[in-house]
Amino acid sequence: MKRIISLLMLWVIGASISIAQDQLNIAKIFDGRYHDESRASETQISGDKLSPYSLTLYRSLTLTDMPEEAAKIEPLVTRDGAKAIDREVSYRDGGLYYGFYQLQCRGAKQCYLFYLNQNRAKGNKIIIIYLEGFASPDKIKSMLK
Amino acid sequence: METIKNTCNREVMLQLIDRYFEAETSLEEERYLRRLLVETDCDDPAVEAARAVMGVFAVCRKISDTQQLNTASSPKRRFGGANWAVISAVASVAIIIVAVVSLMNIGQRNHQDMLSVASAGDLHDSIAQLNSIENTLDGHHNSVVAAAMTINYPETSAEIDALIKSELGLMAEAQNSVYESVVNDFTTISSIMK
Repeated sequence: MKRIISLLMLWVIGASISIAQDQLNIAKIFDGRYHDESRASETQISGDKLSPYSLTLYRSLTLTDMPEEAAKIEPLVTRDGAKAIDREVSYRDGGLYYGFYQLQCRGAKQCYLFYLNQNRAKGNKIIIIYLEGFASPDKIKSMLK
Repeated sequence: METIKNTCNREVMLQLIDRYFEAETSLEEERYLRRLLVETDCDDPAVEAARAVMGVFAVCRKISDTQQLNTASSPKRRFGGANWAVISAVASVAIIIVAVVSLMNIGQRNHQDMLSVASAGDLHDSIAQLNSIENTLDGHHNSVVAAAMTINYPETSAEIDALIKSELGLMAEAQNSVYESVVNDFTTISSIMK
């Protein structure tokens, strides 16, 4: 009986930890903090509209002429990227310029994260795109062409 | 013989009494001394004093022992195996309930995207606010300027296609520039190696 109780307690603790780890750090930038910012734009597409792309969710945030926000966003991206299955990253001027991450996702879904800071290459936008769905990494890369 | 024995006991008793008042006696010695005081019939003042003191301490000890027995017979002392069995049963039921609830949460979250899981609770999801605005508006809007930020909400496949191509196109440009720089680096390295 004691052994069963101990195993159950360990399971509950493990389940709690795994639930906590499911949360993405980049979700914080979609929490409405740029709600009052005219230089920000958000996009969300979900459901059957994305079936031609084998996706279930498309969510993006674009910040124009806000280079200072990179200091807040990059740590969130790199933290999520640290747990990525696969990644392509490029650093310029001591910071993250471009990142493509295939994240660990629940179930059969795939999760992808794009990050681009054009301010590091004479541009003026910071773009974060989060994709969720059943598209393979090759299909995602083909969408970039 | 009896007199010698009595004399020896008396001497031992007096020694023990001295040591008792010096707080040098062990418990066994104290018990032995008490027995001697009870059994011997001595009028020595030291013996009488010891009888008086040990008698008082015996009474006090008896009272405190009685008090301890009373507290020991209180419900706290009665905490036996039966109560522990009840507590462990309740704890195991509570653990099972928590496990089932967490399983249900996991099942529910599998149907949610990982951004909505994190943005639940007190956070103000911009898209959720847009959805609430949409519900109160007449007609259909593809984008809403909520406060100041623009929130795009494309509906038609053409709009979606255009938006995805636009945003992923920027990513493609960046990726190409990264690949170009990688190729340039390898070209430089190979020229150095030659």
